Amino acid sequence: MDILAPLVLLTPLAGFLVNALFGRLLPRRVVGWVGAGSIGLAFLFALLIFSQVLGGQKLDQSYFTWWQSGDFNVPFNLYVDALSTLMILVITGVGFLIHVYSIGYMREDSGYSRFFAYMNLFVFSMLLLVLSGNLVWLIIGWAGVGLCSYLLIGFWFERTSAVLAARKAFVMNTIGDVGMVFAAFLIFLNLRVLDFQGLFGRVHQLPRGGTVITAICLLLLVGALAKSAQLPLQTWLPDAMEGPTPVSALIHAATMVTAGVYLVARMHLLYDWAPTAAATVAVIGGVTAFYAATIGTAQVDIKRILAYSTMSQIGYMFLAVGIGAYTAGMFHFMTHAFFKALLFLAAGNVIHAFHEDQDIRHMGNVRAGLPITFWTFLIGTLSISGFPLFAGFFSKDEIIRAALSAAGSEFWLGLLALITAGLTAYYMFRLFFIAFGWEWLAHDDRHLHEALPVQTIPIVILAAGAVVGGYIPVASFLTPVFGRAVEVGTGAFIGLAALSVWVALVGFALAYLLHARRPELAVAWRTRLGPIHTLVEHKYYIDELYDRVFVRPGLALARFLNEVVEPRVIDGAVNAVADFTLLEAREFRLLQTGRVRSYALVTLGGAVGVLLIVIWYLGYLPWRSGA
Amino acid sequence: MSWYTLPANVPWLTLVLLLPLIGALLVALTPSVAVRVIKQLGILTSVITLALVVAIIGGFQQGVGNLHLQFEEGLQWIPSLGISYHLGIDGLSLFLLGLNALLFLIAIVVTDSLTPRLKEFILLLLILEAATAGILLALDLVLFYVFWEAMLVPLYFLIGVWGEGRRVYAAFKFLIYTVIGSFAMLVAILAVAGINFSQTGQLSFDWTVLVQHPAAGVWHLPAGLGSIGIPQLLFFGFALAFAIKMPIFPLHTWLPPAYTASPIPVVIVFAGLVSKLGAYGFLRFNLSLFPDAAHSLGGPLAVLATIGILYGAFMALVQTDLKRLVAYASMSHLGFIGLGIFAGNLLGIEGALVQMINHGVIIAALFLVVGMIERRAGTRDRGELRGLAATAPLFAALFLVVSLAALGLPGLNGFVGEFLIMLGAWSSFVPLAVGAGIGVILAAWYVLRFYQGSTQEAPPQPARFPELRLADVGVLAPLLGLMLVIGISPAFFPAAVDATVKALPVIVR
Amino acid sequence: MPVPAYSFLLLSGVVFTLGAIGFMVRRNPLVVFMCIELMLNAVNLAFAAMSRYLNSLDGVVFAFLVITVAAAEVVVGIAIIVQVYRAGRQMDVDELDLMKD
Repeated sequence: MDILAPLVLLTPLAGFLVNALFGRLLPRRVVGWVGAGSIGLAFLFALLIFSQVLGGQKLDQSYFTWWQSGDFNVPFNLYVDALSTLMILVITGVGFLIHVYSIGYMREDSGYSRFFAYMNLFVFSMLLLVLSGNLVWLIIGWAGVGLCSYLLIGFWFERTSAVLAARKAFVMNTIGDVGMVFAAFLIFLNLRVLDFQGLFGRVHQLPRGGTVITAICLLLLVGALAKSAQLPLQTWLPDAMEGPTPVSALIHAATMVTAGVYLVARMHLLYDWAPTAAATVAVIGGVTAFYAATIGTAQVDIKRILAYSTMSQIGYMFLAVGIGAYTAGMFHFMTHAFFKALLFLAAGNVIHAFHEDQDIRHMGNVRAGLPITFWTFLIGTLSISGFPLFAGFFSKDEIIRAALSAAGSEFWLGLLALITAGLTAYYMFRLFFIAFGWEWLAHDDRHLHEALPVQTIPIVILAAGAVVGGYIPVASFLTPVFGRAVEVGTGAFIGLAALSVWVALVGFALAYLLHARRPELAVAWRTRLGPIHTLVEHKYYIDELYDRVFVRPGLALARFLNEVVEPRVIDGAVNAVADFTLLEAREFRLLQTGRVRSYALVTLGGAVGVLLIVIWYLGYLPWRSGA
Repeated sequence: MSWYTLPANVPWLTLVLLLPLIGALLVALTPSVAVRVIKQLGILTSVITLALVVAIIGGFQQGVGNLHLQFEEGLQWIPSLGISYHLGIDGLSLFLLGLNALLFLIAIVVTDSLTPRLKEFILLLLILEAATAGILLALDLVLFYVFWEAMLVPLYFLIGVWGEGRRVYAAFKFLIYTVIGSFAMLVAILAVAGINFSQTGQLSFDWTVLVQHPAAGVWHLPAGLGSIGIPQLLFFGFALAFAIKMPIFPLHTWLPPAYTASPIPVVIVFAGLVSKLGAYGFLRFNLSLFPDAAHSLGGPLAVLATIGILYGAFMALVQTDLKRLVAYASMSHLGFIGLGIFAGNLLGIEGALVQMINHGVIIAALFLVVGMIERRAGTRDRGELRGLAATAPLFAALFLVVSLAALGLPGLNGFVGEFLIMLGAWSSFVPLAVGAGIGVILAAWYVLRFYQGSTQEAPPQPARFPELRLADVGVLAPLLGLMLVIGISPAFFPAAVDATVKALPVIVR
Repeated sequence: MPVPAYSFLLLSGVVFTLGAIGFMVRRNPLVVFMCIELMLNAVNLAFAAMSRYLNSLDGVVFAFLVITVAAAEVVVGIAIIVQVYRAGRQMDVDELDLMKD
């Protein structure tokens, strides 16, 4: 496995280099299939690793040293266990399908080779993130995915909105990076190790629930929140929809944004040891899930709805890992990757069909023109809403069950999650009915045609995953990492399952009523809920808040320093010294009269003065001493 | 390192000093009209010097030699005063010497052949190269001072004659400001030797001698004003010179006008190398000769360094002149280096050392980019640039890599230094590390504003922006290569400098 | 009776004072120069006398130096005065203030 692991990393990197350096010279077909093929190859390697891990193998291998000085020893090492295997399978598997889809979706774009180069670089960085065996290289991979996210959000760099969105994403990510770096400092200064093996072995040396371990976990959480777009660092994700749809599918749905969940899961031994921090994770997750779901009900851009849906579902994952249900969280990660990627890619087909219009109110009658897209999107919606037997039902239910059956305050989070599940079903079906509805809501005689097979086949595969994914025994696969999950009694199991199905049905029914059957009721309700609706529609004005509190004061301070402090205060002091010197010089210059006689007088006077002083100090006066 | 040993009886270090001077002499003898010959002579000289320096770096052995110094050369100069011609190289100066050779080569290559009085320009650059190398290699305090002052003359003329804008004002301000610090240092140098003489009976200005007997004692001020520790006073004398040179806030106001007025080849070595000499001076003298004072005075200096990080970042955010923007960015990054030095521990200092090299590489690349923009667009005003990625994608790509290194993206060289420096700072003063972290976030903001403001959005402005030629890529290539190599596999660095840093008196105490 | 030392010094002082007063009072540059010479010679006298009375050559050596300096200075000074005269300026030390700032 020590060769397989680097190979998984190197194939996407090779794809990146080929497309980055030679992409413009190669024909499009080559570029696309190199890009997708490298990920496909990586997936095969990942499968091989999977078979080895199933047989109980693990890996913790150093390949070279990064920095060594005293006991600060950071190698480049790779760490493979069940958790990282699950991650790389999803990343390369779903990633491969999205790359194949992109061959069709991006075929008219002038930046074709640039796109695939960036996508490959992203997969490489993401794999580096999950395979790395120490915190420093994890941070390097972390930054790498942030970079690719920036590059791909701003892919259409002629658009000002895209440029600004990319910058916002990057700066917020940097905040997270700094938090993680600080966590690394605390870890090193207290435990003198940075690699996982060493770290996991020594965690228990710290007092349980003490300030140090809690601070470490909270700082790591800052990084996770930034990367996973949870409150309060979530504002960049909706704007990230400026990027091409495959980017939204891969980076901002299936993989990068789940990196925060991976981080907490990977560091589960630390979070188990810092209950306050873990509780914070759970609370933020639960609240974000609800927050995002409410916003999703009021949006009209198809990608934005899906973006908030992602934010909400990741909230579920955070909730899960926060309360210690790590396998549930990772299970939901996998199913979410399937149905969210599916939803985004299908949405991409629809957007293309409607000539880049993303407003759901302008869409309709999709079923006739794009049948495959229509049915797969429906499957995705059913899955995410938690309809029984679909994948989303199993994974989401497991989280809700874990929360509700736990003692203490987690119960309330579970309740919140349950309500959010209802909201999820509501806004997803609202989206479905408005965008895909039977009624023809826009002008007619637009010829809608289905997308290319290269775009539909991956979606179908993902749809299959969204259906059967729930039957994959993720929990038992992850047992070597997390131990066995807590089981509940059969009665509670069925009761809770029924409860979540009922909630989903309520959401569905409400959506059906308001948006399929009686749209005028929707309008009426919107007016009645006036201010609440505006609040939710504007994302609770958090963007505006951040602008007022951080961006504008920052620029104002900078301008103040530039226009007042630097020229007047600091440089003022310097120039004051110079001016003072000149002033004194002007005074002294008056001595230079140019007249010899005045010079002579002064010289003589001085000489006499010196003589007198010398005589005084020598005590020599002619009438005192002898001759 | 140490894949081979260089023959011992060749005065390698003196050769490093002589080669640029010989080149300068040859240039002086060439008629002024032979512009191509002059430039080629300059390039040839610096290439040979670089090759020599690389050979020296390759032959350097970790942990060997008297006080970890190697290739030492010593000659008596003024024996009655204990002044000698003593050169040596150790972990502190090794890679800086390499940076010196590399940046001067790049500067000469980038010099426009159409520069008026090219002969004198190249001549002064070569002399400056010898002077800066001398600063790095000198082990005798008086010799060091001679080179320190010698560096000012060519720099003054390079800025004052070939500069632009308020060049005379900038050159003059730089000169006077620096000289004030130098005088304080001169007094301190004489005092150090004098105190050493009164304590050991031996009059010597040699660093290797002085470092063995750190100055001690107290000076009682008259009229009951209390007493000042003598090491603290001496520390201050040296510190003033180096703090002005680096610069450390608030002694920085000479820097924006000087960088903005200097022509691109000059600012490459000015920002890339000369500023490091202040940091080097701190390590070589303040932290070695006065370790106790370093511990007590390190705190306030670290605070000033952190303020410099934040101040430089905020200023860079709102500059419209690209050169001035990079100047303040440089100041901000130098704050990191200062923070690492004054944190006073192994990781902080090693971080500062590697960051000195990183900063030299990054800032040289940034100024090269600004120069390219200015040459092609005819303007340095941020408001007049937009969308260059559409007309010059290769340029935008390379510009991007440089920008990412500048904001400390993990995986590139800037991160290595910043990580170690902040870790070192965290061990000593947590709030300062947090301040530095805020500086990192601000760096992302102002670097992206700079990069995106120039290369993104449409329509492209100016409409005509020629793409990079092979020569331009060639000049950037070694810098980009270093950014990647140091970012991904920097282990060669501690392997070379660890022994020296661990032996620094400030750490041993 | 051998001549006592102090009489030479007294003479030297008197001559020096006369020269100094003349230097300050007179306005013709040539006369000023003559007074300078007076002062220098007074000093030489003192040196020579003390040299003899202390049986040391140091004073005489110094007198040599003074004579040399006086000669050089006179050459330069007279040259300047001649140039000034030829340029038509007033031979008045107070009017020659071109070296002022």
